[in-house]
Order: sequence, then C-alpha cells, then structure tokens
Amino acid sequence: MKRDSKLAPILAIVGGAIVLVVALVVASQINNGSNKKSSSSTIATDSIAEMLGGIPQKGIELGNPGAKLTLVEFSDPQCPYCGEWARNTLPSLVQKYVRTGKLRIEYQGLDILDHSGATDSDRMIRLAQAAGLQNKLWYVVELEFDNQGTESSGYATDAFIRGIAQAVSGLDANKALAAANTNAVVPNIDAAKTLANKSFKPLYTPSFLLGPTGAKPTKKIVGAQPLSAFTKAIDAQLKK
Amino acid sequence: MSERYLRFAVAALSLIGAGIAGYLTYTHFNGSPPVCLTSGCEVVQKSKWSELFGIPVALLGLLTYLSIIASTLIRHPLVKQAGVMLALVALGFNAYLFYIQEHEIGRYCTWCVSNEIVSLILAPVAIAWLLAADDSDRRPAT
Repeated sequence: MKRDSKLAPILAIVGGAIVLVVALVVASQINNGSNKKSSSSTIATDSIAEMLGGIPQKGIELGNPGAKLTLVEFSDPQCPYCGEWARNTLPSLVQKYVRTGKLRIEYQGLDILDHSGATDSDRMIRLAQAAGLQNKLWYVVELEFDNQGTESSGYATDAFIRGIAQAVSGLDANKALAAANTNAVVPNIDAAKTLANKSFKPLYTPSFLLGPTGAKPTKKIVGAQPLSAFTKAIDAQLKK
Repeated sequence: MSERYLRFAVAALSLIGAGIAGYLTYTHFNGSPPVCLTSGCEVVQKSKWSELFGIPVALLGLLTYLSIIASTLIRHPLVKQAGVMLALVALGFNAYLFYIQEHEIGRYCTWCVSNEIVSLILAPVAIAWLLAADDSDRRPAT
C-alpha cells in the first residue's frame, strides 16, 4: 500500500518529464525546420551592394582615407561569430559612420580555424586579398560571410570560391582567382597575422582595434559584441 | 544516504549546471566565443540548434537549474516533485542536444558535454532524493 502511494507520484513525475521533453524536442525540430537556409546555390549580392555601394575601397580599406577614426577588424571567414558580426552589426556601422566619412575600416583576415591541414579560411582570405588588388576586397569578404557554411566542414570548395568571385560586380574573377594563388597576396596575409598576434593575447575572432587614423589604436574590442558597444566607443572617440 | 545529503547533492550538481549554462548564456549575449578545449564550442554555440524560438537553449538550461536549486530550498513535497521532474527534463533534453551535436552538427562543445554529464548524474540523484524519507514531506497523521 505504502509502495503504491510512493509509486504514483513517481510515475506522474516521469510521465510529466517525458511529455515536456517531447514538447521541447518537437519545438526544436519545428524551430530549426523554419530556420533552414535556402539550399539555392545562387549567391545574392543585392544587400551587400546596397551596403557598400558608393563607398571608396582601396586594398584592405573601406571608407574615406581621411576619416577621423580607423577600426581594424580581425576575423576568420569560417568563424560563426565573425559572420554574425558582419551580417548584423557591420551594416549599421557602415551606414552611420563609414558612409558619412567619420570612420574607415581595415580588414585583417586570419586563418586560425584551419585545423588538421584544412585550407578553407586560407583560400577565402587569399581570394579576398586578390580582390583587394582590384579594390573589391570588401565585396568578397561580405559575400563569404553571407554565404558562410559550417566551420571545418570543407565548404570552401573550388566551386564556392569561384562562385563568390564571379558574383562580385566589376571584379575580374579569372584575374582574382589567378592572383589568389600567387605570392602577391602573401604580404597582407602575413601582416594580418603579425598584427593580430602582437595586439591580442589570447587571440579570438572577431577582435577589433579602434583609434585615430594614422595613430596607435586606443581601444580593443573582443568578440561579436552588440552594436551599442561599437557606437559607444566610436562616439566617445569622435568627441575627442 | 539521508534526505539531507541527497538534497545537498542535488543543489550542488544544479549549481555546477547553472554555472556552465550561465557561462554559455553570457557568451551567447556577449558575442565572444566560449573558451574551449576544441573548436566545437563556437560551432555549436552559433548553430541554429542553440536557440529555441529566439531563446538561447543555454538560458533555458540556466533557468532550469536555478529552479531545481530553488526546489531544494523550498521544503514542500510538490515543489520537490517539480524539482525532480525538471532534473528528468534536463536529462532528456540534454540527451537530445548530445544527439544533435553527434548527428546534425558533427562537432562537440566541451561545455555542453560537461552540462550533459552533470544532468546524467543529477537525474538519478534527484530520484534518490525524491524516494528518501523526509519528515518534512509528511504531514502529521490526525
């Protein structure tokens, strides 16, 4: 009798737990079913063209060379946090500060997520730097983030790299693809690694340096922090 | 083992779970990658599976563990039963998340796996706590 009186609540608890777990799993499956990215291989460029259109680019630089402030972005094309920052935070910064000539941004690509002989990040950075030789680096970088696959999945195939290069309006894709495999892109890639290792210990991506253009950076920002963290730091330095 | 020790064990394990889930929640909102033994944490934390209708799964875990801790502090049989049920829910959902890491993402997040181990230990301890005799759970016979 006593045993039965103890068993009933246990069965109710286990039953309730099973119902809740099933509900959570179903919710998760529904949620991720609706989140699925389009499997279309078409690379959409409209939003990136809208964000960057009309803004001067030169090599790794985006924006007015005479801007009061410079933000240096250290990121890995495979890094999901970097992708999130590029998709969610960068467009607002470009709109508010770069387009208005107050801020210029430098891209320093890193391949720290290439493990066990993988070369996905390296290949994407090489293409970006090769596009930089035609002053189209930022289109390539943002397209790579916009079409980012799962880290270390080997998604940066030849077809992916070629697709990105061909999607950039005004970029000579064949020339960029050829340059990506030459030593012409190496100095910028090595310089990015050197500057990153000198500036951040430990080094996470994305990381940022902010400061007056042409002077030593005065502020470090680590992580894909919300837009407010960047606007606060930029506004404070613009007031100086 | 006495009810008191089991209650303490449930609270301690939940505190560890809350610590892990709290850290993952912090990194989720802060945008910085979790400190990780492998590169899997970043991938798992930024995967589509890390949120449930916009709510970080880590935050749900944190709230669950805090609720279990609360159930060890509020001495009432129904609250105790609710706490045990949450421990079982944590075990079941963590098993599902482990499956997702293995079969959908193909990477492991060491923090998440640690949390899954905590829930694996917590569930039987919570059941033992439920079964343990507790004078405070019984109303005096009239």
